[in-house]
Parts: sequence; structure tokens; C-alpha cells
Amino acid sequence: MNTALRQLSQELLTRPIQGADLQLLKSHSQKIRVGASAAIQFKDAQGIIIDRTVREIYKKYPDKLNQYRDCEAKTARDMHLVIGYCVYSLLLDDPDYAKERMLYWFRTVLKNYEFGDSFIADCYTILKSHIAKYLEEQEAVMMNHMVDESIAIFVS
Amino acid sequence: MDFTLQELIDKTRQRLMTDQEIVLAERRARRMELGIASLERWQQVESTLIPAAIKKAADESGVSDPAIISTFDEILRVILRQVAFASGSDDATRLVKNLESVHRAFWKSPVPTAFVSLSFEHLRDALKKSFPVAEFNQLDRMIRLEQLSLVSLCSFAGIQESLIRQSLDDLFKLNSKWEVQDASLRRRLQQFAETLMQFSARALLPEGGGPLADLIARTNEKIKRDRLFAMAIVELLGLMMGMMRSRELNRYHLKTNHLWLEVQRSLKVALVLNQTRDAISQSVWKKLSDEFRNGFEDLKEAEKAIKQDSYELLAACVILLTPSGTEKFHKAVLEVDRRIYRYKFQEAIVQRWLHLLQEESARIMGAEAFGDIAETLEQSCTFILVAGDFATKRAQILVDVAQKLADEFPEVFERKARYLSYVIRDHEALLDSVYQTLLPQSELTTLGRIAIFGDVLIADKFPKKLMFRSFELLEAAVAERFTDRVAGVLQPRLEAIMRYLRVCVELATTEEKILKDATEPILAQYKDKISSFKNGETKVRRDARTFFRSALASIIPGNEYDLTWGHDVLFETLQDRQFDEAMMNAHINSLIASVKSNLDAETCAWLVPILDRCRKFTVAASALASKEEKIIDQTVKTVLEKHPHIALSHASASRHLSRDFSRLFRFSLLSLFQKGQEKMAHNLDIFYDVIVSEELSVSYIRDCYEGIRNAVKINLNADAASIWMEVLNPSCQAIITTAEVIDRAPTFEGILSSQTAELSANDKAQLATITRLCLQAGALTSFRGGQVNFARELRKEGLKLAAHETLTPEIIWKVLSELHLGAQNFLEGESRNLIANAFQSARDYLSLQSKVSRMELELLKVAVEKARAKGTGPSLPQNIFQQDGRYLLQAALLSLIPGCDESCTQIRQTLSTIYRHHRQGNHGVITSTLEHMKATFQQEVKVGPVGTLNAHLDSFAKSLAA
Repeated sequence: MNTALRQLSQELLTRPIQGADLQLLKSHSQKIRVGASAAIQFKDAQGIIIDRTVREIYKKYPDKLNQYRDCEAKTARDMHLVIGYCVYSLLLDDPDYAKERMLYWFRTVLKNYEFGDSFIADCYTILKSHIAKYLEEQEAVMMNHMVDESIAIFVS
Repeated sequence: MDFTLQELIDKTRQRLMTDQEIVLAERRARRMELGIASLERWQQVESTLIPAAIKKAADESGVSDPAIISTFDEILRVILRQVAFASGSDDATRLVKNLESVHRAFWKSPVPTAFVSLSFEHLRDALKKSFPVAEFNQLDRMIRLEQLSLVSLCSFAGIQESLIRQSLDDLFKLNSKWEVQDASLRRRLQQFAETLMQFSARALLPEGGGPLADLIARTNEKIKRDRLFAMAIVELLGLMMGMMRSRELNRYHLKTNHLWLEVQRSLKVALVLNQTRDAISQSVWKKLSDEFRNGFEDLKEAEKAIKQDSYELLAACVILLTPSGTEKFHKAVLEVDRRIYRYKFQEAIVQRWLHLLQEESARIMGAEAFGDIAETLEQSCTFILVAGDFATKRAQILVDVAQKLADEFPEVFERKARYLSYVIRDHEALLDSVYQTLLPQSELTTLGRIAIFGDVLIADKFPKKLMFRSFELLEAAVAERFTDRVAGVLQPRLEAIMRYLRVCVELATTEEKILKDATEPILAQYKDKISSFKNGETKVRRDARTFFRSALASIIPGNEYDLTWGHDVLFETLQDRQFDEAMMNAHINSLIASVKSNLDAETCAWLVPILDRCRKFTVAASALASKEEKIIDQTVKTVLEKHPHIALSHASASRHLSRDFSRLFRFSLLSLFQKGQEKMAHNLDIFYDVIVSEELSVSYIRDCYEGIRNAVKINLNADAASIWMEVLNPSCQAIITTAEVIDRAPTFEGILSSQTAELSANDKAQLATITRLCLQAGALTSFRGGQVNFARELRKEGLKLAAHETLTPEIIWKVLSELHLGAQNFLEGESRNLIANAFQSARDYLSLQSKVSRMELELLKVAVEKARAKGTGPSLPQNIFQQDGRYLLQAALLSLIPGCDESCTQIRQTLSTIYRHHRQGNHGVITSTLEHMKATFQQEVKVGPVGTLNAHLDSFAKSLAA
């Protein structure tokens, strides 16, 4: 359960339900609806979105391509994982889920590879642009909000 | 079995998102929308519905104290708000925690139970009238659980003082020394009993079982230094349950009563184990070290390890007996497994250790306690045995298979070198999952993982030739490299799983077409309807894939989880009338037609029957959805008109009956699937206590369940009605037989006491247990799940009888024959058949098991010696053949019980594999051994169906030779 709802459930022990509580719940369920829709759309297009992102980023940073073995494949695999957790967060309407289960841990992994913050930020910014192309507007906004959260953590 | 989205994501987070998670999220959003709507509605009616319900309840239950009424009014508002919030947020995880303080307050100042119960009932009635069906159903599910928990708590709170005091007085009267031995015992027992009552009531709420499991685990851990306390708890629980049964038991206590029985059983076994642990460990070590004098590098370390792990493994099996103990059990077995292989004992030593552990525990713990853990111990031992060989050889097998593949398919692996590591990774995961299925109660996770691997194979579209060859190599490596015992267990499982994976590889190229052919006609026919939903087309395609994939995963033996769970949800969805009935039916029919036209005959033979069960479910559930209420109301009205005294004596008779019918529909239809059969057996088992506690007569029960069957027949179309009859006949029959058996219980008690007058109290008690089993579990043998349950319980009794000294096979035969005759004379129709057959199976199996187990060891020794003297077999140690003979004898005995076929098949498959692959078909010794056993039985066993037993042994010998 996300933090706001947990708090609300506690408050309802001592006071009646109010209009604002219902609004909070409605927005939660609405986000899950859009999250599911985003997941459906993303699932259909994820191969092409990630593939294009990876190609574009190494075109921009060709020197990084040979920094390690199979860089393209590894970047694609990692991106699948990161974005997979972001989708889970949308499905649960709980941004903390991706952060606690994946993003903080993955930041440490990324730092070890020493690709540099600008490469990482660019990589996920390109991803955002492709998400915006392939998903409908509302879904893309939600998805990209999670990608923004990921960038903020990775470069922090 | 009911995953939440969060659990599903947690379980499968190693891979990418699946359709199932998206479907769950959508359902969750839908449930939340319903929940929010009902929360909004609730906000408006809270101030009118609650006082009205409470007033009615107060009038009916005679509560007039305004303080009680106003306090409960406040409390009920808080509870309902929390419940409605849990429904609105579709998350019950906080419910138990948030309501903890409310429950504690109730415990301290109890409110009359009838008042609480009736308040809930009236409130639920009012909600039903003023809320839309879907909203009410969702909210009511949660309210019902809270009602059950709170009423149990109130009722416990009301009686706890007198119940505990009286039970403790009786306890110390019976065991007068205890209080002298330990002055604090009374106080500590009182505290335990109070906590147990509170935690049992809490365990009835979703995710509320944790505190109870922890309480029992803590008590178990303390047994060594506080034995008296645990002994006293066992006795105390018996007294408390007895007292509850005689004066307070009602339908609200049935579930907690079951929990207490489990708690009592686990503590009983834990006590015996604690008392015998040193003797078992010592005896196992002595025999093992005598047999393998030079087999240990460091004798002291080995002694310490064997002794410690002998105890730990037995203790793990006891944990599984406690409510919610599965996770702790898995952890404990895996810990033993990890530790024992660190010592790098020879495989022969580990194998012998595990056999000795079973033999010595059975001998030293005694039949009663050992019987309760025997099956789990046997399975855990097999798991550990396999795990050792597995751990040492797995890596090499994986590398070799990958290397061979790389040699045979250079064009693939030279181009992408990393593919080889993927192959190794996938094979490793697959083998791990296969061997982990051996761990008791692990199927849900392990089989699920295999099913997901199948999904990956379909999605990734690997070259068919390469995949088939890799499976072939892996199977061959398992057969060749592992020892015969390990391969004998693994190979049949792997074969069955490979069958599924091969179909998945084939489907990589054909699934798309199958689904396209299945959905195109539906998309065309229902175009307007579908386009009115967001992502409608995608959803229709996805639904077809969900149906198809869950049917596909059910090809894996024992893996009907997805299918059962998915249909459970579908039943509800159809009830809420969210789907178009005609479209649903057309969709599943179209899928079956597409499968038939796109897949080969062999795959169709596996898949179509499963899909046909899905079709039956959909047709029956969708036909019932719009008429359920009418059918139930009509039947309840007719029955209660005919039995007016029931309505008068049971204030909630009409409500209870409606709800019982509703549950009956759901679990009967789910019995189309394997896991649904298990669920039905569990639900009907509880019915026994309902009939007893509410003193419902046979004629009433007959009118109820024949009535509901007829109402379904009349009100539904022919196709749906015939499916309903298929599932309702066995469940209704089981309930009717249960009522008849309860009605006739004094007759059977009379027969039993006249036949056992001369026997000792212990023997009488053992025979009374068997009689109860035949009557209670035998009544449920009208369906497969009930048969499996009956067989399992009978096996346990068989194990207990094996070590019984005074209860001879002849006595067992005589007493059970009389009871069999009693069933034939005093029962009628189908009930007569069911119960007479149960007594007959019990008589045949138990008398022979008891006789044979007394002569088994010596007989096998002589038989194998004679067979080996003929010089017809491979040169293996004597005890290997003795073990084979023992397994086969066990399977032949089990064949006498209907419902044991799966266990028999497993033993036969294991031994067939061993002889076929590892002993080059050289079955001379074992065949001669079986011949000798048959001849001896024919000559010496004068009780039981020896001919049938020999016929089974004969068929096993033939199947080994085939």
C-alpha cells in the first residue's frame, strides 16, 4: 500500500470518511487504470522502443560502445529491467516500489561501470522520447514520469 | 492460491512483466472503482443503516443497555469504515493491524455475541437491499470475514473465563501433580489459552494467521526446557474443545476448532519428538557408523552432523503440521540439505542415513506420532537424496550438454558466443525447478516457474531443431549421470515437463495463428461491443491467450493452479455480469475449434479436454449468473416452508442456507479442475461440523440439496443444466450422505462397541478413529478430491497400525467387516454404496497392511537371498533389492484403496525407469523376489484379499519386464 493510503487508513480509525479521502482513492484507481493501459501499450512496443534507444545512444557516444563487451546487449537488458520495474510501480501506483526494489540498487551498479552521468541521463532521455512516440499521451506522461524518477536517482 | 498483484509481482520479479499482471492490475482498478462507489454510498447511509441494524439486533437479542448499544454503534462504524476502505483501496493488508485495538477492546469488555452477530446480519441484509449487486458482493466478502472473526472473538471473550477456568480445574484434577511441580503453570496456561483464542479469531481475517503461527512456533521451541507446559497445553486444548463441542459450538467456531486441532496435533508430535530425539539420533548414528566403519574422514564431526541433522529434519516435518507452517518448513529442510552436503559424505552413506532415519523414527517415536509426519519425512528424504547427487553433478551436466550443442550447432553459437551461457542458465533453472518439485508443498512456485519458462520459449521463438536437441541431450544426461535412485525420481518428472516444453517450442510459430483464428470471428461478430471499450481489441486477444496459456500450463502434471484460480475469478466476474454471455461462449468455442484445426492430434489430445472443461465452466457459470438469486430464493422458500421448525429454531436459517447454496455453486463448478476438487473436499469437510452443530435433520438436508439440484435443472437451459448436474450430483450427494451418516452414528457406535468390548482402551480408540474416518471422509468419496483425501488419511492409519502389537489383522478384519455389513443394512441408496465401499477399502487395506508389515522385513530378506542365489540379477547390494521389493509391495497395498492411483503410478514409474535405464532391463532378481512374496502370501496370509494383492504384484512384475 502506498504511503498516503496507509496514512489515510490509520486516520479513518478516528474520523469519518470525507470528500478528500474519496478523491485520493479515485485518483489512485485512475492511475492504476492508466498504468495498466500504459503497460499494455508498452508491452507491445517495448522491443522497438528499447532497440532504437540503444542504437541512438551509441551513435551519439560511439567511444562507449567498446568500453565493455556486448555493450549494446547489456544496455538493452538493463533497460528492460529498469523499465519493467517502473511499469510495476505504475501498476501498483507506488513509485517507491521501483525505487526500493531496483533503482537504488541499480544506481550502484551503474556507477561501477563509469559511463558517466551525462551518458546515463541522455540514454534515459532518449528512451523518454521514444516512449512518447509509441504510447498514447496520458500513458506516455505517466511512464515518463517514472523514467524521470529513474534519471534523478541514477545521476544523484 | 489467491495471489494479490503485489505477491505475483514479487514472486516473478526476475523476469519481465506478463499479461497476468496487467490483467490483475485492471481487475484491481475495477475492484477499487466498485469499492470507492460503495464507500461513497456508505458515507451517505452510515448514519441510518447502522443504528437501524443495531436496533433490530438489540430487540431480537434482548440487549437494552444504552451504553452497550451506543459503544457498539461507534465500534461498528469504525469497523465498517475500515472494511469499506480496504474494499475501496483493494488492499486488506492493513485491516488486521488497524482493527487490532478494536479487537482488544472487545476482548476486555465483551458484548453479547448474539447481538453482534445479528447486527452484522441485519446490516448485511440492508446493504444487499440498498447497494448494487457487484458493489454489495465485493463489500460483503470482506464484511463476512470480519463478522466471523469478531463474532468468534466476542463469543470467546464471553465464555473464556469460565471455559478456561473449568478446563484448567479439570486438567489439574486429572493431573494433580502438575500444579505442585510448577506453581506458575496455571497462570501461564491461562495466559496461553487467552492469547490462543484472540489469535485464532484474528487468523480468520485475510493475512491474519501470522501471530498464531508465531505463538505455536515459540511454544515448540521452548519444549525442551518447558516440557510440562507443552504437555499441559495439549491436554488443555482437548478439554476446551470437548467443552465447546458440548455447549457452545456453532458455525462461528468451526474454523477456529479446526485450527486448534492442528495446533494440538503439532504439539503432540513435537512432544514425542522431543522426548525421543536423542534416542533416534543415537540409534541412527550407531547403525550408520557400524555399517560404514571406514566411510568417514572425521568421525567426530560426522557424528555431530548426523545427529544434529537427524533431529532438524524431523523437527522440520513437525513444523509443517502447524497452521501456516509451510514457509518455515521449506526453510528448515533447505537448511538441512545445505548443511549435510557441506560434509561431502558418500552418496551411499546419505542414502542409508535417510533410510535409517525413517526406520528408527518409526520404531522409536511410535506409530501414533510418526504416522503424522511419515509422508512428509519420506518426501523430504527423497528431496535431500536427490539434492545431493544433483548438487555435485549438475554443473558438469550443464556444461557438457552446452558443449555438445555448441559442437552440433556451430552456426548458432559461433555467431553469438553468449548464447551458450543463456542455454546453461535456462537448463540450470529448469533442472532446479524439476528437483525442487520434490519438496512437499512447493508445487505452486516450482511448477509456476516451469510454466513461465514455457511462456519464454513461445515468446523467444528459438530454432525448433536446436531446442528439441537440447531437451534430448538434457534428458539423456539426467538418465546417464545421476545415480539410478535419483534418476528414477527425476526422469519421469522431467519427461512430463519436457512434453509441455516441446509443445511450447512448437507453439512459437503456431500460437499466433491459433489465437488469430480464435479471435478474428469474435472481433468481427461483436465489433461494436468490443470497440466501445478502451483497448477492447487487445483485451479480446489477450483473453484468448490467457485461456490458452493457462490450459497449456495444465499439461504439466499437478499444475492446474492458474486454471483454477483464473476460473474462480471468472465465476465472480460473470456473476457481476460484466461479460456478455453469448460472446464468452462463442469465444471459448472458437478457441477450441482453432486449436483443433491448427495443432497435431497428440497435442490436441492433451489440450482439448482441458479447454473443454473451460468451456463447460463458462457455459454453466454464465447461464447461472442471471438466475442464481431466483434459484436460491425459490429453493430456500420451499424448503423452509416444508420445515418451519428450522426457521423458528435458527434465527439465521434462511441467510445461512442462501449462503451455503451460493458457496455450493462456486466450489462445485470449480471441481471441474484438479485444484478445485481439493477445495471442494475442504469445504465439504467443514459441512460435517455444520450439520452436527446446528442439529440439521436428514430430511431437511435432503430437501435442501435435492431441491437446489432440481431448481437448477428446471431453471437453466439443457446444456448448462447437464453440466451443473455433472458437478452438483457428487457434491450434493456428499452432503446428503454426511447427514445420513451423522443420523446413523449411534448405530455404528453400537456395532463398534459390541465388537470391541474385549479390547484395550487404546485399541478401542484406534478402531473408533478408523470408523470415524470411514464415516466422515468416506461420505465425501462421491468425487475424486474426496477419494484422494480419504486415501491419504487411510494411509496414515495404516502406518499407525503397522506398529500396533495387540490390534491384530484378524481383529481389524472382523470389526470392519461388521461395520461394512452395518453400512449395507442401515443405509440406503448411494449413501450405502459410498460408506460400504469406504469400510471395505479400509478393511482390505488395513488388515493386509497390518499383516504384511509384520512379516515384510524377514520375507524380503529371504526372498531376495533366494532370488540372488539363482544368479539372475546385476551385482548390487542386498538392501537395494529389498528396498525395491518394499516399494512395490507398498504400491500393491495402496492399489487396494481407490484414490491412491497417483502414488502407485509414481512408485511404478520410478522403478520402471530404474530397471529400464539403469539396470538394462535386468529384472530377474526383483521378479523372482515378487514371485516368492506372492507364494508366501498365498500360503501364510489368511486374512484380507490376498488374491487381489498378488494380482497387483503380478501386474507390477509384468510392467517391469515389459
